[in-house]
Amino acid sequence: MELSQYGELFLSESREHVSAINHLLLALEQDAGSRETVEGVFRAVHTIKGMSATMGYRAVADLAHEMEDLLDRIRHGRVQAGGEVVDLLFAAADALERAIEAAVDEGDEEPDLSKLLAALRAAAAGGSADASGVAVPSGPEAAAGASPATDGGAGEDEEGDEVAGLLAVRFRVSADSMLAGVRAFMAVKRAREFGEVSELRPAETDFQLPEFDGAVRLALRTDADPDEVRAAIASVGEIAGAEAGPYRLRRALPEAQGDGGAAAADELGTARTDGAPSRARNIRVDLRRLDALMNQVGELVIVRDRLRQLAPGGTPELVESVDQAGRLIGELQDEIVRARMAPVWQVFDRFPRLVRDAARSLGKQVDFVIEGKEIELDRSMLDEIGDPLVHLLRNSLDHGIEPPAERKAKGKAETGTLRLSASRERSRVIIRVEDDGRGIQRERVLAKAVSSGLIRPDEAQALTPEEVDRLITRAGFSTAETVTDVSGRGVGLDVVATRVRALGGMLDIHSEPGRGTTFTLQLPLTLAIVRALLVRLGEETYALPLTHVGETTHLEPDDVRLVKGRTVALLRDEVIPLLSLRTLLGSGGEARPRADGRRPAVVLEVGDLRVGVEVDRLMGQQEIVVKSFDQTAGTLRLFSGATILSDGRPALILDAGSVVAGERAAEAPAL
Amino acid sequence: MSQTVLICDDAIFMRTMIGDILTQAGFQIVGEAETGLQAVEKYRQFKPDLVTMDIVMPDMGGIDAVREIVKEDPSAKILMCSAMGQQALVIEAIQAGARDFVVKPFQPSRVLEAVQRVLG
Amino acid sequence: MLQIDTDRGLSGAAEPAVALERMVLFVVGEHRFGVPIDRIREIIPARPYTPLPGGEAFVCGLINLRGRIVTVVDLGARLGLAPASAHPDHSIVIVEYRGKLVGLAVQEVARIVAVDPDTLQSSAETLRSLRIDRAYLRGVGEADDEIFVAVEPDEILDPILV
Repeated sequence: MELSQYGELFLSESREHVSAINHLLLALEQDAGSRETVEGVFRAVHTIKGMSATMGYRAVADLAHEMEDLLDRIRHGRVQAGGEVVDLLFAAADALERAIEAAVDEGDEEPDLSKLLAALRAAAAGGSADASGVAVPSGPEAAAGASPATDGGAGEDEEGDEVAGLLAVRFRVSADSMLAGVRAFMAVKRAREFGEVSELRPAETDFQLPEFDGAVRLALRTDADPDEVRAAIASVGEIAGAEAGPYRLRRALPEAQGDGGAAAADELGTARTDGAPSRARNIRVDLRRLDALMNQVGELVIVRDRLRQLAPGGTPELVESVDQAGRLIGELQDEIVRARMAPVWQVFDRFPRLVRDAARSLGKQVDFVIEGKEIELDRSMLDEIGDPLVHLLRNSLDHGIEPPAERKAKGKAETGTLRLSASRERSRVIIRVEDDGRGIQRERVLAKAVSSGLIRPDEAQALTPEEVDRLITRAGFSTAETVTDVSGRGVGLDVVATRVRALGGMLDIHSEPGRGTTFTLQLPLTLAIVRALLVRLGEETYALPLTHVGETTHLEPDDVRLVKGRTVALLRDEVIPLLSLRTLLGSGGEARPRADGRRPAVVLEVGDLRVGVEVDRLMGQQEIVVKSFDQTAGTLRLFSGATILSDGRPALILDAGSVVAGERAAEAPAL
Repeated sequence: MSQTVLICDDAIFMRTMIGDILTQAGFQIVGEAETGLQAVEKYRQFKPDLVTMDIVMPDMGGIDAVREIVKEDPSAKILMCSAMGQQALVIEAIQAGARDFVVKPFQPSRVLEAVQRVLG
Repeated sequence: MLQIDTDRGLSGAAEPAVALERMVLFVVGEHRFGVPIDRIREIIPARPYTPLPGGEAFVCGLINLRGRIVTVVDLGARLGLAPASAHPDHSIVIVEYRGKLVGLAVQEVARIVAVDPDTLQSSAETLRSLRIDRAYLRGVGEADDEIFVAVEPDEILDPILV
């Protein structure tokens, strides 16, 4: 059977399960006695085992098998899920993830897991040795929890896709069988005569346990007729019922708890913080397909704009048809943008583990709270925000949250709170990283900024607290006295700020000494298509994403003044710095003055900084498809990408953050 | 012609009881063994259609006897006779090549069902 | 514009042991430069460039290649010769460079030749007259009494693209 086509499916589904495992292990760490949690981990591991065995990924299946064994002992109370055991399971989950990636990426060598496998076996065995002293839960309730009949094993979901050459088999040993375990063993042995047995539940070694209720399910790799298999198993004797049918891949089922609740929470921008990721009833689409679709639609949008320019000269019918086509293209674009949206939990879900590990290595106690994980973002954006968020979280753990003793001395709870939240505000997504730590230590920031030459001492005196806070996002700034492996070496928040700007978003900082710091990321919903203002400079057109365009204006000659050698614009009651795009880009030539002497300008807003930029002409707004281009060594670092205009020519997209960066550096406190 | 049976058990009581059940069902008891060694020897001698085998016997245990017999005759049809609580041993015997098992105390109907399965 | 000398040296019938390399020859000023054909994606006519502010003088700018944005470098200017893109009807050779597509503006595309890479000479005389960084050049070849310089596109582009 050709299995490679299932590789992608296997990978994405396995990743979800690994993510769930990490989550549940964190929960298990909090509540070692939670049988439900152990069952959850067991099920996820079990599913991975079944899938990887089907795919022939030996290393993954073996590892999952050992994990399953250990988990099985935990759920039967024969091994306690203490710190060491949970740590081992965490390590195994990591290894499992790596093994999965390596297996799918065929070029990769199979990781050597022998040590880990041995450790898992030892942990499982260690528990069974003193099992005699541990009470084994029994009775109907416990049996129901552990019963293979209730926990959705091999291929029972009726709606999944059939897997050729694989049968889902289940049978139940008669209740009056004297040795049900032996009977089950014999039935499995009979099944093995048809082909390879996998996903055996319960494990063969568990047939002899008192809890074994006689129900068995397994996956059987065979081309034999299901009826033949069923008859053979029934002929073992003392089998009350046997079934064999096509094996179906399990589908992600919608969460039992009403989606309505999650949706309502979504509206409020706060969703549940607990438990495993909820899953929608979805099909999986290769992201490259979506990218290709998005590109095609991008081209269509360009053609639409060109048609709209041409149409007014045509017949009314043509104008109307172009109009209609334009609307349809717009709707198509919306649909595809929506299809590309994915909930932020796909990124957030790996953070609890990361925060736990980082907090532990820093000796800090942290309650990590995630809110709004159902908020959706474009897939391409999701892929990009992971690293900046990791950095912000680590920064908060490293510099924000104080060690327990220090917190206690300050009269704070020893355990700090780190909150990661997502919410939707009109066409933007807001992501906040909020800690209740010591806040930004402005004296230290200033001292550092002065000593590293970022600002002059006299400038330092004049900075507002907010301006001081912003210094930490400046290139080359880092207050960490010692380089820790948590915040990393030589990478500052400036990298985060730059990255966020490159995504068309912005990063704000709010800090209160002793109370904590909040980093706020504002992001556009999608990277691929943005609304932009087009401006003209000589023969060239440049695009400015509207995210950072505050307003456009035509300045009267009187509105432009020279203050202390710098050009400023009077905008109503406001005085803002005024830059010239021509000067910024080093283009030659002179703007041809307009007949009325007014000067067109764009007001860029980045954070709370407003800067005017003078251009030759304002060309109006348009949706543009953001594309990358290869910069040359000399190219000014002022562009976040390029786009293709309706006349087919490329145009550069100006990055507002970079445009005003020089202004921010030169920002005169007097203004 | 009725089918032949070799009964292996170290307790006369058990041999008698099984013998009775099977004789009444029309089987012909061709031999009895009290030890595993005897079981192997008598199997060679009689080539019976069916062997009932106790698990715990002196000299050579029932499981080892199963191994020996199956090694010489893979088509040997052996029914294990076990007590409660011997699951692991029964599984071992099945792995060694026994075809089925019955659990003491014997109920005639169950013994015959098992015999049918073994011979079927 | 492009003629392929399929018969010349390609059959390999006479010397089957020699692995011939096919090169596309371009005219830049009075020189001919050769680039291996397997590095070339396509050759397109000149089209308007969108300038890259701050870009080096030999960077022509960006073009739209069927929805893809491609940076174009003037091969002449890059090699210290007269800029090829100054000719209104110059050509753009789209080469594959480290997984990207990059354009090289050339004055004219001459033809395709098949050469034995081992016969490329490091003819000091010719190379000296070029005053070009030796790293960019593979050697001097000859085809039909015509001298050409085989160039290394990667070496030429490495210092430029980031």
